[in-house]
Amino acid sequence: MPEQEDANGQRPVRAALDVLSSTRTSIVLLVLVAIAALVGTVLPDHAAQEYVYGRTWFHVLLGLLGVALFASMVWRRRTGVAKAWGLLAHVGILLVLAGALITLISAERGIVVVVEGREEASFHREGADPFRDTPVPLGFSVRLVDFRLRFYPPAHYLCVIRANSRPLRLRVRPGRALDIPGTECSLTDIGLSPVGVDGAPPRPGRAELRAKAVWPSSSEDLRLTDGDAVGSPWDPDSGLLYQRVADRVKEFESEVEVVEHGQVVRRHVIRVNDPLVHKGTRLSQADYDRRGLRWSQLSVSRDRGAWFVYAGFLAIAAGLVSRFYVGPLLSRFRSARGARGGDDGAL
Amino acid sequence: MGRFEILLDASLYAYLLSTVVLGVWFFWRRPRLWHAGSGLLAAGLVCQTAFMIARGAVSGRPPFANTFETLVLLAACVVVFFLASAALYNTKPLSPLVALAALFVTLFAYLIMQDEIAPLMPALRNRFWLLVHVVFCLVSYAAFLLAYIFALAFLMKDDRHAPGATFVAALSLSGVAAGLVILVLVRASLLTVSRGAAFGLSAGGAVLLAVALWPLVGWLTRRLGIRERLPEQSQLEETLRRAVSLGFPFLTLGIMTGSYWASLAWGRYWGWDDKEVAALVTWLVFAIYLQLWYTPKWRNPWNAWVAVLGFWCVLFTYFGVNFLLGGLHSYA
Repeated sequence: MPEQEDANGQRPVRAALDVLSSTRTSIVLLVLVAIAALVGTVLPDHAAQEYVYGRTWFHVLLGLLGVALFASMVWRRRTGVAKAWGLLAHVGILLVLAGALITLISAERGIVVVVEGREEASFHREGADPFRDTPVPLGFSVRLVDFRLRFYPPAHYLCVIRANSRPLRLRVRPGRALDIPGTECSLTDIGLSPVGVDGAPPRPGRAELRAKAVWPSSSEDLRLTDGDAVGSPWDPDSGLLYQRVADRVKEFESEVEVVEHGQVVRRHVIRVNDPLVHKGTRLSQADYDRRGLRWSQLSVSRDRGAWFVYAGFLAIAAGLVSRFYVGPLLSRFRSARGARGGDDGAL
Repeated sequence: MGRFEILLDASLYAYLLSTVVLGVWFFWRRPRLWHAGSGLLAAGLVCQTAFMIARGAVSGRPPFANTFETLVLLAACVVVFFLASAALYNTKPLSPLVALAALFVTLFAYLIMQDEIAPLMPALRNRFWLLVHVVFCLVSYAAFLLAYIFALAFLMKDDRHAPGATFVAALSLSGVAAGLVILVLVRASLLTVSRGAAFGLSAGGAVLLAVALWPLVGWLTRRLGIRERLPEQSQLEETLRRAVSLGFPFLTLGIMTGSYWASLAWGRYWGWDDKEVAALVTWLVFAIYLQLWYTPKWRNPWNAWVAVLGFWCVLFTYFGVNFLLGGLHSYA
């Protein structure tokens, strides 16, 4: 059925589509999203979630951007290879927005705390009250076999503490001489040896620094246990402190087993960059028992929107690279062969 | 000071000499001066590349894990892209500004350098994603820095926009100067302030200095005939568009790889972290620039201001978020 004209002789649907698909509309929407995001960045995290990113108006704004892009792709159909690349980038943006919408509607996030030697078959939703809200089944059980921290090898420092200025922190390495900047003093014959062991992680032991200290007019044997300080001979207002840093965490590791129907079907060590993905559920390392290393907290995520987002980003990048580089190259190639080609028009 | 930091020293001196020589060449166009200046620029690049390779070999990881290391990469990328653009599009007259930018970026890196190569925190212990994510982002930042220089040069050639562009140029120079002074004072323990306060002091000092310097910069620009010595406006507009066309796909890839890496490390591809959102805002601003550029009836000098705004967003993403806001990327 043909569209009815209004009193001014215009067709309202066509006019609306013209407005929605116009460059002006897309720019206005991009500006509005940018301003909203900028406001969200400046606000504290919780306020940004509460007043910007979590609000319906922000989602509607993103939705309008998607609708405007879709309208421009359909209503202002463009032909030509160069336009097709631009179209691919637009399709990519739509995929990202679609992925974000799927995440918003259907993604499930939460946490599961697993104690060593025990199994957990459910998780608590993000923000839920663990005492009142019903936990969500994982679809399988996860058993924590062991949680451990791995540390970098200890590093040794000599801190030169001076009045009214920042301490100077110098790395100490066994067997190497150490000149103290700004003075004529140095340490030679540096040796490091363990002193006692208190056993409790994350500080597995202590160490002693032995060195021959060469001062401007004398030298002496220096012995410092980590945390000890001595006055410096060249300046009454300064001192030397030996520090042993052994608590630099290299990795958090949750060794887990996936149990289904009483059978262990999978073993995995969850690390920060190596989550466990099982049956569409992703378990990532989130937190741990800082006192006894007896339990591990894993974040749980089920999100089908993520792959739309990645596909969208890839489409945007492919569309842009083709539009900016491949397209003009092909166009130049065709021109060289006498064929018609162009590089104008909208992105 | 380690063994290979001498390479960073060498690059600093090379960029300093290059700035001087290319500055002389700007007013006295002799081919030998250009060859010497661009050769020094290339020598600085070689030294920085060797420094990054040596640091990567010693640390056993990609040398792009903190602000110092990424600044060195940024300076190197800026020089690579500029030398390519000078060869392809004749942007040579902008070479003193680019050499000065490379010098300042390296100087900032030098001032925040720590003797020790700190071990990586668990979230960063993924060499592949560390490499691709940081390189993609820094390549885009370098392209946008060049776009900023091209945009300001383009605006300076325009009678209506020249005063505004001169002010922004003065603001940029005073911002860098104020930042360097604050950093030197903090390093020398003459000033003890938080990172946020240092950033605020630099910004406030920059605005005051820019207001004071604006008339002087304007007068010098006219007196020395700088506008006349810059490339043609159409050429600048085209190189500006090409610089944005280089940076934009890389920024897209940087956001994409960051999003995938975040899903591995933090369990979600997007967490509205300050750095993520700031990068998104930068992306949106350059998307607006490209949308305007590809709509012929809307192409006008105002578009160049969008590119200028885009680079300010890059600065906010790169430094502002780290210094003022923190968040999940506060180590970067």
